Amino acid sequence: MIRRWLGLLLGLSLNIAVAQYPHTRTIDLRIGQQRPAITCIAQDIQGLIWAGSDLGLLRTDGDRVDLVLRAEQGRVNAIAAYKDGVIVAVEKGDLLWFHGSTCDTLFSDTTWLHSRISALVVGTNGVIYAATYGAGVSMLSMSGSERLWTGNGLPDDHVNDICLLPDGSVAVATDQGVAKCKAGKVIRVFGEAQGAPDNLILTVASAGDGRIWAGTDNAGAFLWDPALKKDTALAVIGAGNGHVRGILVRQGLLWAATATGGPVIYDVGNGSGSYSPGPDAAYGVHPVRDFLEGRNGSVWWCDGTEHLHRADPSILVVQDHEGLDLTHISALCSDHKGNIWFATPHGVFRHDASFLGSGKVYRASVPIDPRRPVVSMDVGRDGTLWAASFGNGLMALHPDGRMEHFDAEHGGIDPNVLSVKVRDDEVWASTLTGMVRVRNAKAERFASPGVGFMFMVLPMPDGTVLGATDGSGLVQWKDGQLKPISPAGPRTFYSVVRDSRGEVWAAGPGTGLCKLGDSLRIGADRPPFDGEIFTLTELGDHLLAFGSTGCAGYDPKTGYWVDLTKSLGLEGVVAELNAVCHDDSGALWLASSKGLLRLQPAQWYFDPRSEAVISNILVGNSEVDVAPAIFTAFDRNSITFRYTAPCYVDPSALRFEYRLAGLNDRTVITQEREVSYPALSPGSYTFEVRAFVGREPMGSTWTSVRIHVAPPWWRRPWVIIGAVLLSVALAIWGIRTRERHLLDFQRMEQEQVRFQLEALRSQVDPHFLFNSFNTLVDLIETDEKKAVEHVADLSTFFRNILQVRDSALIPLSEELGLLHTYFTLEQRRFGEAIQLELRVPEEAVDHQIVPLTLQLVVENAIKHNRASLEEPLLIRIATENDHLVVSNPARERLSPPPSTGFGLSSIRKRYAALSKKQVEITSAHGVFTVKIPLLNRT
Amino acid sequence: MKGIAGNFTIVLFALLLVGNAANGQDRKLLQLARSEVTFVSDAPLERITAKNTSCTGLVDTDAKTFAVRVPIREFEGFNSPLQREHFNENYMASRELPNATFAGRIIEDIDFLQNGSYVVRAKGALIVHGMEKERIIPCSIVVTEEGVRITSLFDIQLADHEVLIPRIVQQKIASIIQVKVDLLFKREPKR
Repeated sequence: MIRRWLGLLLGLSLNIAVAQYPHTRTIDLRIGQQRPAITCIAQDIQGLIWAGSDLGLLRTDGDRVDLVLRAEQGRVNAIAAYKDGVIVAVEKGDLLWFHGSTCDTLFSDTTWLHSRISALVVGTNGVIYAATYGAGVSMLSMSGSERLWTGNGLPDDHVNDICLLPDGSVAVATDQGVAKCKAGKVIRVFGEAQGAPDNLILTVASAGDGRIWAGTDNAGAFLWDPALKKDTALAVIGAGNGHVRGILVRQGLLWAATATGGPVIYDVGNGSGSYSPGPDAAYGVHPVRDFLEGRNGSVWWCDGTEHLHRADPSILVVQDHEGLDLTHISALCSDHKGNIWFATPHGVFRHDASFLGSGKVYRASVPIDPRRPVVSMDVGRDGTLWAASFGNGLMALHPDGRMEHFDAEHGGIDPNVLSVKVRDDEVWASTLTGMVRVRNAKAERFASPGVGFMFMVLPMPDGTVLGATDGSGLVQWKDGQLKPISPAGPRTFYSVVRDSRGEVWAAGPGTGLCKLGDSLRIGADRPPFDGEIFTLTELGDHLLAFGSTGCAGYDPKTGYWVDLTKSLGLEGVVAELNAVCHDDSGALWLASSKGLLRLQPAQWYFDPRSEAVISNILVGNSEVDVAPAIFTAFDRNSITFRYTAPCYVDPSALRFEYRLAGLNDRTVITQEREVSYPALSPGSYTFEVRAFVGREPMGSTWTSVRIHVAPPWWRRPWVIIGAVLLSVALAIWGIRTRERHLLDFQRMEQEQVRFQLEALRSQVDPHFLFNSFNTLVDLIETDEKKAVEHVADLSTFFRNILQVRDSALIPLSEELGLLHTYFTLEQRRFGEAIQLELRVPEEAVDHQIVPLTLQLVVENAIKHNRASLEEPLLIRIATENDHLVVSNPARERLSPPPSTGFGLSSIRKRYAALSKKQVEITSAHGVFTVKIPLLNRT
Repeated sequence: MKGIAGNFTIVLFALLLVGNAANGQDRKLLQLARSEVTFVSDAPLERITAKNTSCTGLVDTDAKTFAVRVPIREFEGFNSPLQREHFNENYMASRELPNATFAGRIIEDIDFLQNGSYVVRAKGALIVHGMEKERIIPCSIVVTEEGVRITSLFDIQLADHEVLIPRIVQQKIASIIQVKVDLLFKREPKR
């Protein structure tokens, strides 16, 4: 009963019409002409968004959309971030892991074919929880898998959703209630039987403190605390709206996917209240299918179309409130009670700064004349509202309802007031003709001859007051005197502001941002956006400048001057002159043509950094896995890197800086997302890239990958060593061979010398000479004529020997001539006892022969054999197959003459040195044969 | 789309096989005996109604699962024969996609042996025009001696199932179609 009342009460609160929503941006994930219907989304560790759709698995960096897995390979049922990528459950029963440019099948189970995976969660210890519709929850890890099902206490095997709780346990949404499970055991179950408003739980989400939000089919969402002993639904929201299919809890806000278009946001931190979708088209008209907790506090959702929506809760847009148009606010201020005061052409209003449905708009009884608008307001410590009207003077509304009015008639001030500020018990205002101070209900004017038109007044803590003037720059009030304090530089300022460190900044038309005290002017004459600065204010440690076409942020610490127009969603938004204020929580409120904007301080507004991701690496034309180090061969040295950076606010402003260390240290700044190195010589390189938004890569971190191009095989160390060893071996072999040849040659020379010596010696053999002279003596006595012949022959013989002595080879004809002379000499001695049979064909006489060979062989034959007239020694010389054959019958002398054994062996050695053909010496069948090779004519 | 239709056939056959194998044993399988599926398109300029009595289906009372098949070409009624032809040929493409199916399970626990009436939710995949949509449809079930009677009234958004209506006839065909279902599943006669 109480539950119903509660539900009714909360359901009622929904009906208050507040068109307000966090700033939302829509990303279109079209692939060519195709529009995917996206049903689930996840963000990986690098910030890339992955989306499951009817076309397949998509991945985007905010600029490009890649179809990573086609639906034909398996429709995507669920998706979750896992390690450095995402895990994806596909319809055919596989759990795939995508990381970098690779895809691995982690698990495969046929039961998932019939009981599809409805949700995936990765536990803190790396366990993957796969919730299935029909087979409970599978807990998968590398060491094995466990199952949560009806068998161990789960209320139903049909699981719709699962979420991780802070203590490491999980909450499981089933068709029969919600269950809390830890370490494979069901700890507690909460269903209709235990008092839940509905059994059919469609979704669960962690409230962050151990409690569980559960979305039901027909009773909205309820909060359940498993730590409480008593089973009870603590809070029920959206009961009147029927089902809640998805929940995301973040920073005290609960985002619910209901049957209506776009998410409904409930403020569960501050109690009741909800944002309902405004008339912003970006918010979407289709029911939410899946939520995602993004970076920088953003919330993403998909709605079954090609759109992804990204909301930023730190930027709230309030367009109208209970029918009150908030797009024409001319002045804005906050009091110290958590209220925001704003003036429109229809009146001055007050509302609490949470701006949720619970608060009411209170209308202040300040007279309004549309022709004399309220242009500035401030509230004093005592609660008095001071309103400055351009034309109607200064008005004070005291908490007791009493009105005070200062203008030309009352107080004698210029009725055209441009700004008003309260400092303690003083009220300072700027007018067309100078500065005004109101103290103790009395107005005082301060003017200076050169100083007129004053846009803004700023009381300082040290008791002075600054004014931004038209034509006189900044002026200072001190001890009752107005003095210009910025003699040089721009003359006209709209705004003057003091930052958290006490420094004073001013801006005006065409001035850019100026700092008091030195001539520092940032951005020269223009802000980074195209237009004039109408309003300057501070937020956190930064300065914000709003203008006619956008917004820029300045960080005094780093000097970054960043265009924030797109990140804050202020495209086409025109700020009102100095209509800005801070509330007690530090948030900034701005009146603009888009409505009332609330900006909560967030570091990311001013952060130009972005994390670069190397998405693909191509070696040659083939893609390789993106790994910290890539190895490739010398002939596959054309390398292409594709890189990106997740940027969902303004991808076109993204810039990259890259370099290839190892090639050169030159960095390149580009907007391209690809670079090719066509021919890298062998070596080690490091490719580094970083991304940033704006003009300079300020503080972005490098993402790098190492590349090793291997040298060709012939330049590898072991090949070189082998080649060196081989050449050394070859050289040694060559030297040795040559040495041997030289030795051979030397030996041959020696042989030749010795042969010649021997030949000479043998020719001048005393025996030969003695025999010759004996023969000569006989002849002289008997035949004088023959004696003369003999002496002539002897002389010819010796002359011939001298002639051929130095030649290595001589023609056979010459040798035969020599032999003939010799034989004639010997025949004179032996007469018919020795005979020579010469059968050498004409064609053979041209062949070459070692000189004196024949002579030696024949001399040998005569020397060693018996010869007589009865048995003459017949020496045959013939040719046979390129050989000269000298044969004689072997008839050893009875008393052989002493022999050195040099003659024949010398012939043999000389021929061995000259030719492969051998001198053959045989003695068989009583015939002694010497075969002398005939060498070719040279 | 064919894959989805194939899946449905598998479910139906699986139910039939299990039913036949375990006939007369614990598992109770009820066949659809009498059916009446009516749809109403209530557009500003025209109201179209059509009725279908040729559905087939099964309920497994133990597993609380069910499968129903509605042959699109068997819808009768309409305001003219030409309208019926347009319905079949242009909008529903019933030559290629002859059946609409709904297969799933009954969420709530009910006793099919105890006479009485129950209000339950049927959760499952509704396939119309080849497009699958997960639906949770409230039904009322009346259990009698004769069998189980299931009646339900629900809406189908044409956009959900990619049934494209030309702009020129949008005043004559509603974008949300109301469907009324009255199914009687009979028990096997006791042996």
